[in-house]
Formats: sequence, C-alpha cells, structure tokens
Amino acid sequence: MRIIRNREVVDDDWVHVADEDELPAGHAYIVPLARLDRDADAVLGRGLRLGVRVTGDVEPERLVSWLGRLQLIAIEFPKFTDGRGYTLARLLRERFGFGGELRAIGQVLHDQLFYMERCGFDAFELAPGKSPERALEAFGEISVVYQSAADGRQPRWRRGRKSPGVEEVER
Amino acid sequence: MASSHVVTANATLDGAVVYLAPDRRWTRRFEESLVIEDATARDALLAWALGQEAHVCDPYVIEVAVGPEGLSSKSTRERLRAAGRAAVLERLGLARRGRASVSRVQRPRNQAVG
Amino acid sequence: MYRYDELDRTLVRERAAQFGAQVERRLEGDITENEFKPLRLQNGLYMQLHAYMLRVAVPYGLLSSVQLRKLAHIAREYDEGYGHFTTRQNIQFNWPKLRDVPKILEELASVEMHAIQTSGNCIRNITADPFAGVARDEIEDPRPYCELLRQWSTFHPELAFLPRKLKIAVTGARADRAAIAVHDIGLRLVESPGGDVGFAVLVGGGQGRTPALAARIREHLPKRDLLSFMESILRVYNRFGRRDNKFKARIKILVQDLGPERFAEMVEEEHARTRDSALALEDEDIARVAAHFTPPPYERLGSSDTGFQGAMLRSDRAFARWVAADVLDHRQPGYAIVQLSLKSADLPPGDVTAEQMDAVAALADRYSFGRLVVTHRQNLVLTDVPVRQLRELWRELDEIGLATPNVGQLTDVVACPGLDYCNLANARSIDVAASIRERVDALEREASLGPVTLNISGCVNACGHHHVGNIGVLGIDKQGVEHYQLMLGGCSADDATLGNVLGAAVTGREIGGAVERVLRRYVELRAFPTETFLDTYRRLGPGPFKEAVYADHPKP
Repeated sequence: MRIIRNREVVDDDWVHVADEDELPAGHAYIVPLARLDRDADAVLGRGLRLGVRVTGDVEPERLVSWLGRLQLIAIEFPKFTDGRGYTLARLLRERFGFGGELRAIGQVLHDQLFYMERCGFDAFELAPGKSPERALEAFGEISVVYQSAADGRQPRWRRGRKSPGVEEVER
Repeated sequence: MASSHVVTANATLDGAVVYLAPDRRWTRRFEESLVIEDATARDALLAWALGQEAHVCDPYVIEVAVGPEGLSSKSTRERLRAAGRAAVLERLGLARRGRASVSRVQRPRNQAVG
Repeated sequence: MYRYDELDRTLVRERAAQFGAQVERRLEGDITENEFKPLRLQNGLYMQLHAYMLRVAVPYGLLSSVQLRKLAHIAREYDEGYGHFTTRQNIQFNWPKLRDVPKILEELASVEMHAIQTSGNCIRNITADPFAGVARDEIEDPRPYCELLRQWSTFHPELAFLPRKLKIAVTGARADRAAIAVHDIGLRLVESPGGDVGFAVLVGGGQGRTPALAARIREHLPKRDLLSFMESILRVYNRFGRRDNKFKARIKILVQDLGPERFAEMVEEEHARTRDSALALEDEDIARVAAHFTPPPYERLGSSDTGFQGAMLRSDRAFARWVAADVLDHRQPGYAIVQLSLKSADLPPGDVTAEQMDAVAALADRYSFGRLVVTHRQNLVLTDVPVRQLRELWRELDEIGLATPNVGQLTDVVACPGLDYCNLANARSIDVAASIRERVDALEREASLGPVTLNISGCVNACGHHHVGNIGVLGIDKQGVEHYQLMLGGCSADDATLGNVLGAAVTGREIGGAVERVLRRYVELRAFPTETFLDTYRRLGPGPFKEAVYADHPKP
C-alpha cells in the first residue's frame, strides 16, 4: 500500500503480520506487541527489520526494553478521537529517545497529520478510502506553532530571550 | 395502532430544520412532510437520508400524529423545531423588523429634582 | 491587551483558510459529517435546533472597541443582527450559514480574533476575573498568565483529542470572581508567607450531571512551573481519563476515581520530568507578555474627584440607583468600574444587538480607553471610567438600554440559551427568565431583595451554572412536558457551595410563582434588612422555603 513517510508518498516496504500468522523471512515486518512478548526469539531471529504494533493505551514501559531492537513502532488509532496515541508518541520520542520510524495507523485522517507529526510521527497509513496524495496538503496548512512538542520547535514566548535559556532536557 | 413517522434533519448549508417530503424532496415546512406508516419503508427512507450528507446532517425519525388539525409532534422539542426560525426570533423579541430602535427618547427618565 | 505579532496573525489567517478547505471537502463529500464534526467543533461551530451556532473566543473576556465593532458587523452581515454573551466570557452567533463561516473567521482574524477550540474535546477558552487589572483586592494581574496559557493550549498537538472538554479559570484577587472551584482546573495567584507570588492549583471542579468542587493539588506552584505543571495535569488526564462513557469522561471523574492524593501524586511524578523542559518560564518570558497588560494612561486625579458628588446623587434618584447597583470602586483614584447590564426586559439575558455593540464600542473609546470585558454572568464591563464622567456615561447607556440598575440582583439572571436554540436542552430557559422577572419586579421594588443570583439551565449540562446560583433552576423533561427543578443555596465565590434541590419539579407556569414565594419568605425571615438571601438560607436551611413553595401546592 501507499503510505506517507517524511512528507512523501511512497510504497510501503513493511509487512503487517497478525498475531498467529507465519513470519515472512527476509522481510521487514510489524508484529503485535503481545507476540513479541510471547515469542521473542522467533520474532527477533527472522526478519530484516522489526516493527511492533500497539494501541495508544499501552504503557510505554512495556516497550522500553525492546526499543534497541525496534526499527519501527506503529501506534494504532482505533478511533481518530482517541488522543492517547499522541501522548505515547511524544513519550517514545522525548522521554525514551526512540529514533526509528514512528507510524500512525488505523483511523488516520488528513486533519490529524499536522498534530501527529508534531508529536513525533514520521509515517502515516491513511484510513481506508483516504488518499495519501491529497493528505500531504495537511502539512502546509498551519506554518507556525505556539508551543514546544516532539519536533524541537521552541515555544513562541521564548523568542527574543536574551539568554540562550534552558533547552529541552529530555532527549 | 400503528404509529406514523416522519424523517427530519438539519440542512447542511444553513442548519435549518427540514423534513422529508414526497418524491425524496426536503422541505422546511412541517405540514409538507411525507407521513410514513410502514416500518420497512420508514427504515429504508432513513437509510437513504443518511447518505444525503450534501443536503442534510444527522437525519432521524420522529413520531407524529395525524389529526383533524393536521400533523403534530408529541415532544416540545419537535414542536419548537416545526415552528421554525422566524417563530423563535419573533417570540424572543429579536426579529429585526419589530426590534425597538436603539435610541429610547420616548422612555421616561426618573429625574426627580430634590 | 495582548497585541498580535506576525506569528499570531499568520496562525489565525491560516486557520481560517484551513477551515475553508475543510468545509469544501465536507460539501464535496470527501469527508463525512462524522469526520467533519470534530473539525467544525474545534472551530466553535455547533449544529443546534434551527441553525448552526458559531462560538467566538474572547480570551479571558477582554475585547477592544475595534473587535466589538467587527462583532457588530458580523452580526449584521452574516447573522440576525445580534449576539449572545456566554457564561465563559465568549460570544455566540446563532444563525451563520456553513459557507459563510470561513469568511467570518477571516473577518475575525483581521481584528485578532478567532473561534479556535471554543468547542470539542480540547482545552477551551481560559476565563478570568472580569476585574483583572483594576480591582482593589488584586494581588497580581492574572491576564499575562491567561495569555501564556492561551498560547500554550492553542493547537497543542498532544491535547487535541482529550477524553472530554477541559475548562480553565484564573483569578488574581483575594475574592474569587472567576468561579475557580467549579472549573476543571482553577488557578489562583497567592502570596506565600515569604511574600512571593505563585499559584494555588485546583483540579476536578465542574457542574453538569455530577457537580463537584475542585480539589487543591498544589498550594503554591512557582510561576516558572506554570506551563509544565499544566502540561503534566493534561497528560495524566489524556492518558487515564475515561473514554468508554461520555458522561464519565471529565477530569473530575478521574480525580474522584483515583482520589485527589493519588491524582496529585501522578501529576507530580510526571512533572518531575517536565519541569526543566522547554516549558519552564523565565522571568523575562513573563515580563514580555505582561508588557501587553500595563495600566492605561490614567489621569492623575486628586481626592476631590473621587467622591461621587453627593449632591448630584441625592437629586437624581435614577442615576443614584444605577451607581449603587452597577458601579464599583477602582484601584486607581478618580476612576470607577462600570458594569453594563445585559439583563433588561427587552432582550434575552446576555443578548446584545449590533446597534448596541456599535454604541458600546464608541462609549468604550470615549470613556474607557477603548477596552471592555465580558463577565461570566453575561454582562459587560467598562473597566476604567473617570468618576467625573459617570453621569454622562449613564445617560448614554440609558439611551441604548444598557443601564438597567440590577447587576448582582435577582433580575441579573444568568440563563443558557435553552431549548429555543440548543440541541441538548430539555426545556426553555429564556421564557422562564422572563416570567420570573415579571413576578419578582414588584417585590423587588417593595422590599429591596439585595444581592441574589439566579441561574437557569435548560438541561443537566449546566451551561447556566445553576448549581452555583443562590437560586438555581434546572429544566427537565417529564413525559414530554417542560418542568423545572428549583435549587437553593449555591454560590460560586470563595465559600463555593453547590445548591440543594428544594423539592419536586414544577411546570413552566408554576416556576415564576415558586421563585416569588421563596423570595417573599426570605423577606419575612431575614434577620435584618441587609441580611442577604444566601446568608438567610444558610442560617435557616431549606425548611421554611420548601414549605413556602410546596405547602399549599402538594405534588402527587
């Protein structure tokens, strides 16, 4: 399928694997966290690259020990109104220093992309029936920001500070 | 006794109350509503209405009574909806034409001089 | 007041354009109504009984005359020639067309206004003491902090899809005029024993179905930590607030379920990790925003100007009545705080015509440095009027119907729009306000009822704040017929209390009489003529009032 990655529409080179399915050797695949917990040796041994799929309510601590082995984390939004995935993304980036691909999946719509990107997502699988090409427009709609988030932009009330000030300590 | 129903919604463009009239037309006049006796027909029309988002938002079904004075709704809310926008403005003293002008030169002011 | 720079202007312009694109996508069918709904709500656009309703943000209630003129223009050009001021210091237009809303947003953007986050499950308008900057009992002006909170919360990318709405109120005075105890988050500027000013932080207040008073989770938060602490509270709420049941999703439920101590603990744990982030406020950050809120160029007026010209008051009773009810002392010698009652008998509570708005804008320019404030009791305030010009101003206000001498009295009714407008309502509220007024007008003239607050809500969502009215009225639906529940003893100030239901609900025909009987009993029982209704109620309890209302009118 076509996804957005780093503000471009590309073919997806990852494969989603369901909990009970066979792991496709030689591929980059994404498994549910429960499977990784249950079957780590098998999962870690077989793929080119490893991704894990979670929902927004997962405790970040459950992912911490795996972070070094993951090249991708996919956070699922079962409803686009469920805002927990945004907090999880920020924590993974800012508190736990995750540097791999952070992908939003599930009910991902055009009008969430701006916020999602600011929270640290760099890849998006749009909801079924939604065009990723048209959704790219979302990134340009609001060019200015007020507050800090996961994207390193400074809060506007710090502009014009005489001293350099305290930079983000959490990275 | 079977109940009679009408499909109603708000118009997408301006939010006005609308009712489904015969021929799948939307009308702002309650008395022009298509009264539906048959439950299957009612469900089918509602399903159709739900797909008419270019014209209407959030259609739903209301129960109505057909009496000697015409069509009527049971709930206060639906009666207020059926009365329409002009009626609200009129009743609350907000209709533009009838509104008191800003300057109140006629109003007597209590200017007791001691 | 806060003046936009290029960044702010760009943001509101781009937002208006973004919404224009969203409207087009909606009308072309690219997005469904369900997908569009949260987007339009985040721009303050509701669907109501007869029309859309646009709620425009008035940050902490502060307006310039330029902005008020623009609101008048919008009312005239795009609406039915009037607007409604709300209990959260915002303004609502009740009849916009969907295609016009992006244009309205553009017009608002041109005067540094918007409708961002006035609805939806996000952080809403920050409200404040309407007398901020001018009250005698002020410790520190809360408005710079309100402005910082506004910027921090606007388009906050992590907090756009909370379990439910989140309302914040801020006060900087010794008396709480912002009702912080019944907000999701209440902030109060307080002085430590050592003299340094910080914030008391309260969380979990609210009205609605399950009213609650907020719990204090921090006694003295340093200013430096204001934003990081708020972010920590919001993050805990975003993560752990309930999402399974719309009626159990407010932050007050989370605070109650966890208990305030455990909730506070979780916030402090989170805060330990955020307090040194980019959100830490330095003194110069605060000073830079505070520079927008310096006092206006007051004249140096001597003590001879500060008297109310006693002879004048004695000779003109109408003017004297107005001064007594609607005018307050100001911290600056020679100036007064003037409240404009939007509670005349001519219009629904809180409604103002476009003509009145234009007239008030001119009065603000002439008498009050071009500024005015919206209060959460749905009135307006000219905050800086020279005392020597009060009489002139009064005449002008009287001309336009905005000099009703009733602020803080019974006929200063707070009422939500109710079933005439609102999809959520069970009963009408505007008619009830009018019918109670009629019944009580004569009594007020006879017996001078003194300060008493009457709050009317058309449904349990409590937008009329009926839980904290001295007299609260709640509209309910009893078998399809509008009924009204009477509550007594509520109060939103420092001794905040939630009212108690008096007895069985009565009909729309009976509610006026019921309120009148309550007040007649008060007049009979008050210990002295100036004992307030609330004090009398607190002294005697509901018994005598219940008897007055129900004794001859037994309900089945």
